[in-house]
Amino acid sequence: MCPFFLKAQSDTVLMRPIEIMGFGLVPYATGDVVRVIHTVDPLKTLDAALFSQAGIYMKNYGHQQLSTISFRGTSAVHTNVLWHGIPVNAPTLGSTDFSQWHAWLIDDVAIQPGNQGALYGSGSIGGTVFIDHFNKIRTNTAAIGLGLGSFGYNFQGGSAEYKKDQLQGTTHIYREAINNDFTYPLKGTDLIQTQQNAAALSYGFRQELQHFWNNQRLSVDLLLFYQHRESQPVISQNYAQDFIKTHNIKSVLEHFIDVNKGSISTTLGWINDQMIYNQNPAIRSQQITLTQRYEYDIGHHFHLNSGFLISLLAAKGSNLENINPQKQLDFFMIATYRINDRWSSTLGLRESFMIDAGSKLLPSLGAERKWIFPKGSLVSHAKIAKGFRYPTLNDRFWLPGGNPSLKPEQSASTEIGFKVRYRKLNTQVNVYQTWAQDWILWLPQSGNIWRPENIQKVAISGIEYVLGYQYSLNQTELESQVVLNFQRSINKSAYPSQAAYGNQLPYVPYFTAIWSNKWPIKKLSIALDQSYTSRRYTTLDQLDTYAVDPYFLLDVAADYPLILSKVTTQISLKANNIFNSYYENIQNRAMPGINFQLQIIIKL
Amino acid sequence: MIQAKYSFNSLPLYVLFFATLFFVSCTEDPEVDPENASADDTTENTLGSFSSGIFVINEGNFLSDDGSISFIDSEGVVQNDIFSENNALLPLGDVVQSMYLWDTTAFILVNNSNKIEVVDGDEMKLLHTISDVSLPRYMVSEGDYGYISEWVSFIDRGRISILDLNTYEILDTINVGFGAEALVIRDNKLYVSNNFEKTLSIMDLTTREIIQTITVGTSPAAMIIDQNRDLWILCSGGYNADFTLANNGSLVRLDSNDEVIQEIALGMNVTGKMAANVDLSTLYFYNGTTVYSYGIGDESCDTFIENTSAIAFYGIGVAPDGDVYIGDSKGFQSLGSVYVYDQMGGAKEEFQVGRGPNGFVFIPD
Repeated sequence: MCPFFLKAQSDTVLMRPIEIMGFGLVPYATGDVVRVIHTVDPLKTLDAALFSQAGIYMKNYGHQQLSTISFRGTSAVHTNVLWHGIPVNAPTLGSTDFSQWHAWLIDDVAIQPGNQGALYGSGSIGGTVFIDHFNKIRTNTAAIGLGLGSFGYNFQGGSAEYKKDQLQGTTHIYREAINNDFTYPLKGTDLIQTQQNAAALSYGFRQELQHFWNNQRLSVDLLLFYQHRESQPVISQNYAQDFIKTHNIKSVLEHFIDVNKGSISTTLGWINDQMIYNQNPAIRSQQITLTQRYEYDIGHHFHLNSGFLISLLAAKGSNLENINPQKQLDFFMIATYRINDRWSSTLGLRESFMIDAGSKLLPSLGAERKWIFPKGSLVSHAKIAKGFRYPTLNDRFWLPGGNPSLKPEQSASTEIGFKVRYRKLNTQVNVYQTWAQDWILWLPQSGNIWRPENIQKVAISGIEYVLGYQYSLNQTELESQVVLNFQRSINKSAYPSQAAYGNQLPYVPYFTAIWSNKWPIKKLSIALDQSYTSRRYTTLDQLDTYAVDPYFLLDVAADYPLILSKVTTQISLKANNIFNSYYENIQNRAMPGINFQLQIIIKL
Repeated sequence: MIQAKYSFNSLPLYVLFFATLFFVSCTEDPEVDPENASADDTTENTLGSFSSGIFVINEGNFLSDDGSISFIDSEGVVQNDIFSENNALLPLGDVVQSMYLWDTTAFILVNNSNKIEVVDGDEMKLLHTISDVSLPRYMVSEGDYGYISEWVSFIDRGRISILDLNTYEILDTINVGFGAEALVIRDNKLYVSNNFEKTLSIMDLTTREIIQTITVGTSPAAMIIDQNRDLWILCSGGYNADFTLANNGSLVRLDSNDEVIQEIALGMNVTGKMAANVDLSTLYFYNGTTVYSYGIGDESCDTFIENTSAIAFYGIGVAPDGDVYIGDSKGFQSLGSVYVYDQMGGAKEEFQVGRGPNGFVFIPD
């Protein structure tokens, strides 16, 4: 197996210090940071894991509702999401609803912050999220998951891994439901209001199969999601009847072959999404993607990673009629030069073409220096890169208003970072700056029509700080992790007025902080997770009167394993928001106060 | 010895504990204490009376629950968000469509919140919430009864709800066409423009029955009774099959016998808002950032003003002194602006108001 296919361990424990490592299909590129997100809570959705472990701000439109990402001060369309290396952002909206990705169906997740246009193509501006890969070794195990909690929460899931001779696979299935009838104090009144119309029901199924022979591997993975969610209304409108139904089919077929000093992987993905809002006609989208990646060692110092990606994107709906499938073709090459054990550098280059939407040449250059000490190490890295994003199908073809002549959004970024390991302390700091232009905004036009235009310029700067440490305490180890994110995402265009120039973009918090702790006491494990999200403005005016208040949350969990013969039963009791704070993630959409959850995971 | 070791190793726990407190103390507690909020509001309420000036209805961003009311007093001082400021920060709602003033009582119709907030117009104090309405749009009154147009939904027929103005009870609902929009009362008849159709429904206010449905232009919206008692209907225009603009907006004139006596093709689609000058001889409407004027009896309209620095006009009104007030939504990216022009189209003032200003209620001195 190619050394660059180092993978995350599947049995990683909570609070393991964040590591920089290759991850499945993430090509190792010097100058970049890859963080593994441990989906330690198999009964959560991916948005919760991304926030609780990386402090990435997720826009939740209510409890267990639509959840989109704001990575490094960008909006949801500026994060590329790759499943087995296939881009899976919806072709219509250009973004991913992370609440649809349930941890029960996922093996591994990693993030790569920053501008990765040369490596991953369109949309990798704020960062890239990687979901799953085919480099896992399965065992013969099975698990049953049960969950009960506040507001009518219940979960039932089953999973099995199997391996025999040259075959292996995994099957997962789950059902999750919640009434979401929590109560909250209604602002400006002495009323305690019960949330209405926020129930959610979801089903998911995953089937992965792999066959190995000689130096080759054939893999297939199929994901089916179904969600029926009532659309949680704003607090002043507590009697809505809106709902959203989504059906998603994602499938991927991959052939991998080890060749002399390298490997070739060929991946074919087919994605079919359908969304129905209330009684309106369904909006359907389809994507077929073929990508091939060739990795090759040239001597002891050079590593080459090159390939292509072809995508066909199509959508159909009452406002998306007669759209010809959009064709995208990318060629990419990533060359890594290891000067010695301490110095390495990477040059990335991607040429991307979209029929009728232009083409982009995207270079990136990264370098890394290591210092090894007797009890630790220091790694510094730096990178400069360009990024871009193609307009979505809605941007180009929505009727009325779609603008087929939109250009791709453009960006350029630079960052520098340091990672220090010293005994049981592990810390990282990254400083970054991004300049973006031609960002697409929908603007009102004459005749009551809105039309997207390449109008916005944005300057983003920030610091990310991660600290992981372990204390020995009475023969146990207290593990702790701190993640701090500071970010300024500044409007540099005079739209919609000169007064808006220089102001923070809406729904980008200046500051998020995570502090997670785990304390094992014999077999019992206590987890204490704190998070802080600063004020978020809701308009470009940067006025406190048009802002969502900051909030602090404290969650506590206790885990206890019962081991009986070969059966391990993990019992977890969780209390979330234990200060019972009223808070909003999106303006005037209530989030629940204190709530409890009991989880039982039986592993066979 | 054991004691000492334990104390030393407990240090991280103390750090954790105090840091937790630090985190908490750094957080502004967003939890609402209604009693305190009310008390603070009482002491800080120096907004005074809203008995003379201009109410600006700010629609707010769709699904953001940030609609509001602004007030521009006779000195030109703007007070924003006066509903929340006078009601302990209670959000007004999602898509504030219009406000109707009946004596000193204001009815604020909040479209996507499916409610009407009834407030004391002088102090903006909440009196009552009417919640058995569905996508309410506009309101008029005659005697002790209010008439409310409601879209109901995008697939059901619109309706008119009849409101007892003293008890705030909905007494009856009468189905009309799809997208029940603007309302006008003339000669004991209620005229309803059905915005999703090409029709106008006419209801007899005595029998409360629909007595006539008249075909007008595409997407009828605002209506005004001119100095001749003729009714003018602004029709926004529609779309072609491929969703391009049909550019078939029109002005339709209905005489006192409810006969269509004039139709003026505008050659463009227009926004469905309209205002008239003080003596009801000139109509104003707009498209994009250009306002057009139409003199009653003319064959065509003229450009009244064009504001190239504006983003998108979203509401229009004429003050008792004849000045023309125009709201600019700023594309809902930031707070809106109100531009004031004299009767000749000369720019006079600009005010920053709430998000998405879509209409005005003028209270004369």
